[in-house]
Amino acid sequence: MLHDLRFALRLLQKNPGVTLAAVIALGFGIGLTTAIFNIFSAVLLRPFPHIVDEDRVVIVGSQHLSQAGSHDELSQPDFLDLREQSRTLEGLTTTQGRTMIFSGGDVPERALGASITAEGFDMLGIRPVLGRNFNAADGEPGATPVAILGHALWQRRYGGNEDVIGRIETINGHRVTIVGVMPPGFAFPFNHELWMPFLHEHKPDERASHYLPGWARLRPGVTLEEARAETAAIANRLAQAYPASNEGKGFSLRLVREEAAEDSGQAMVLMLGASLFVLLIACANVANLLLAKSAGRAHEIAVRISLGATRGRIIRQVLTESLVLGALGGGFGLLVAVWAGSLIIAAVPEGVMPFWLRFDFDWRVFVFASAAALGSTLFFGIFPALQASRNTATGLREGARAVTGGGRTRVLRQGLVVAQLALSAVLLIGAGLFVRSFLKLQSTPPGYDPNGVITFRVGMPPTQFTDREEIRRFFDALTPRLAEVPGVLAVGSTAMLPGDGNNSNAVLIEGRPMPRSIKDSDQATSHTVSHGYFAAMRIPLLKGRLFTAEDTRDKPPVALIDQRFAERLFPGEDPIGRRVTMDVFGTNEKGPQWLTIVGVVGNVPQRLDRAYDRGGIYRAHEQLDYNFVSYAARVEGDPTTYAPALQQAVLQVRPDIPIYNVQTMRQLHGRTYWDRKFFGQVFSAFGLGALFLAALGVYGVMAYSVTQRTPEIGVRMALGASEVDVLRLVGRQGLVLIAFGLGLGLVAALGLTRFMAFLLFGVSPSDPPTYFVLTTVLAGVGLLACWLPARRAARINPLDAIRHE
Amino acid sequence: MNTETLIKLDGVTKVFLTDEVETHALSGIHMEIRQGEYVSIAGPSGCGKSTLLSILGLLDTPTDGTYLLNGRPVQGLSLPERARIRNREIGFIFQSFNLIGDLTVYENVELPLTYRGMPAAERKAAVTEALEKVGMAHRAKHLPSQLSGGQQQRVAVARALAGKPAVLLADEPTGNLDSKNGDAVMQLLAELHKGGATIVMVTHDVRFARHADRTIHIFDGRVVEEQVEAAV
Repeated sequence: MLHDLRFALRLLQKNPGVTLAAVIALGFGIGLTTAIFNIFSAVLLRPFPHIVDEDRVVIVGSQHLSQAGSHDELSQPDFLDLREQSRTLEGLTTTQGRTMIFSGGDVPERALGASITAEGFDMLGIRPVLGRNFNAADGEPGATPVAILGHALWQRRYGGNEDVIGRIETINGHRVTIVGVMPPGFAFPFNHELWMPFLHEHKPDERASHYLPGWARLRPGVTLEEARAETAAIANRLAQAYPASNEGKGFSLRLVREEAAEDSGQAMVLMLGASLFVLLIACANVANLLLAKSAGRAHEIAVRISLGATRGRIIRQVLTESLVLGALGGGFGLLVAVWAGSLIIAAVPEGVMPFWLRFDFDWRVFVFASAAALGSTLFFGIFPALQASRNTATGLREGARAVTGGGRTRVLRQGLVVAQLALSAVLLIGAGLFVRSFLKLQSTPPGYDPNGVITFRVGMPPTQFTDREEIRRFFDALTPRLAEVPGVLAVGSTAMLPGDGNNSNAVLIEGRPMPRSIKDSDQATSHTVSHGYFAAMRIPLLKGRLFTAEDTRDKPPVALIDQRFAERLFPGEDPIGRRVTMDVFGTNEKGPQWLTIVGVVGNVPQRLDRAYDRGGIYRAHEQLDYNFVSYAARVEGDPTTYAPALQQAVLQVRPDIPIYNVQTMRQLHGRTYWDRKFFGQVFSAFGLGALFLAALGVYGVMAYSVTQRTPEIGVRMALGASEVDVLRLVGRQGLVLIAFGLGLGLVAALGLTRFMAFLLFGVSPSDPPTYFVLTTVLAGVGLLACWLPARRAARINPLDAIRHE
Repeated sequence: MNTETLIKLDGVTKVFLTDEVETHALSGIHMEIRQGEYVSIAGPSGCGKSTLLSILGLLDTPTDGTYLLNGRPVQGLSLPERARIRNREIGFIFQSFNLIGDLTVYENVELPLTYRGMPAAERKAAVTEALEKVGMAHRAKHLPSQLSGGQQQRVAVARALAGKPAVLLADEPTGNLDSKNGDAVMQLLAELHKGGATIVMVTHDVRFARHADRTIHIFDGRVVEEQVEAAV
């Protein structure tokens, strides 16, 4: 074995060009696959950081029993009942994201915080690195307010000072004692960095309002099925006790891993599959390279056989050489994986990934990379090994020339190229569909002008500000103050910017029959905006009028609808002056509040990549109460330079209120659709890599063929073949390969791209222009790869060629 | 015998430049070959006879001098023009046969005619005639690997003949054959000559050179002697 290894190293040194080409091709194949596997592993395989024994942690929600697999949040009363009655679950926990504002310093600082059930951290198994966890008493009404800091916040705000424990801070206007600091990287439930205990007040009238996410731990010895059976029984009792809100409802219990897999599992499998295609193409390239190289080893193999080497011994010898190549490729692949991984992660905008996603390499990645290298070695090494061993007997009988130049090898090499082209076609078409999908999204009019608009969020936390008049005064003063900032052309507020969340409401047109249930009701996207919002966003008025400063709380409530709403609910009718309510099921004791439609505006879908069939309805901010809103300011010049001036304007109105989530509309648009761009980029990289490797494969086979056929070409030229005749001769061979490869690739792409349909927007998985363009590109590149050796063949000096024989 | 000049070389020189060293493969060759003549070019290995044949066959160009083929200067022609003349005016017979392994005997013989753009029916007639002339018509569907060396060379001769070239250039046509097959090929060339073919044959074997009407001896790139055979 050692002898084989030494000989293998010597051979690889002797052919540095071949070795380098093989290592680079393998390295890129293994590296890309490993980088994608790392992401796959982080999402689906690697234990969640900080959470102890995650297989017993479940996500608890409610579900409609008639809709298998549905999952909704819990209502507050259901949460408390479940916590009290369940004997299979322990530590039932909920969280609610909150804006938490530190005040008392020079400038207020906003942190993304969460209130969490006091037992929550113990349930997860997380321990603070400093101080203590919350205890049950911290969650009791009237308890001294306490908070736990995230590690990054501790470092940023307190410089990592350990004296922070026991320090009293003013958070949302309350004096709060810091009792702990969490370990680095912990940001439960998503990317939060400051926690306070959740105060569980009993709100019996909120049993129909589902807004609390739930987590719990299975008690020791309890299976998931047992817990499901018990919670089903509890749901049944609640349905009997509260039929109005709970009939047909149950509880859903899912392992945290299931949740992660459901959200992104399919996309991960798709990416891993695509990267494996690249690896296969690379392996086919290397196999072809080695088959070509083995042509020159016929004599050596024949000699080995004549000296008594068995077939197995020859296979071992050649496989050892491949193994060394595979090891080198695997090592280079790890470097590529680190590089590609960092590029891939850099393509994901900050803040969109949950805390538990960690992309540092662990043993799984190294095992995968080793397996990929070994698997690749077997794949690309077995063909030359078998070829060499199979032909040596013939070689001994008929002379070395027959050993490797056989028709079987030629067919094998051409088959590998056909496979490469087919796989490349699938990847390129997949990439093309993603890119086209993204471009389609980019070219879809959003219904407003996103250029020159800066947005930010601002508000007064309800735990601190309970006086509605104070909040109204703040917003009433803030809007005109913002409009005075030099360079601001128009400014308006909204509860929800386009692309940033969704809020759907049941609506009822006055005079139309009352729906029997929410399911039967008409739904619309509900917006609350100030009167300046339409000018700031340049949303066109199509009919009637916009909100004005006169539409205040003491005036009759008004609404605007968008074009889609008008078409759907007022077909052939004039909606202006008609009345609509969003209080369809009568939660308002005074009866439904009817809003008079005063205008129709253009459509602004919350998500451009989803069908917009509901339509939208706008209410006037000046007629409603809100604690938090987003402002949109249309400005002159570069909007990113306005953040300090806008913050200053807010501080002039309230020195204790910070602004946050400052971003331009373009940036928000980018964040909203980052995943589509991301998949477009990743698949384009795969597609281009595959294209390059396939072109290299075609070139290699054609160049090798030309070398092998040099004497023949010389004879043909001696007999009068012109350059065109030779180009035609060589080109025809390449064309056949390309035609086969593309044909197979098209069929495979038609079959495989339907699995990515869920990630496409506005493009069918069998989109003819994409197929046509990319097939043409691949054919063009393939032909170019053929043309180079063909041109070389056509320029052969027939005299030299005949001498070559 | 037709006495019209088919090939005329005047001061043909071929110089190879390798690593800044000039090698004079041919130096001032003067030569005339008439139509219907059977000329052998003899000389020791490395004397320049194969270079001369390459120039005669338009596979190579002289460094200096003029080459008239059928009265037309051909030394400065473009590559496509040279290919066209090779295809129509010259028939090659190589030492190592140079048949294309993937083509049948028939297809090998047909090959130069396809490059000429000859219609299929004419090609068929020409190929059949050539194969019959060399006695290989019965092996038309065989691959070269199924033939003996002598048979392969007969097919190569048929391929050279099929297009009815002005001259057959044979480069050591017996070099890869045993004496029996070598004699048979020489006999075939003699018969072709009798039928009016112009043949220029390079050989280092004096025994075979004697089959020609005239033997031109080359040494060190120069014509050192011309010998006219009394009888064939």
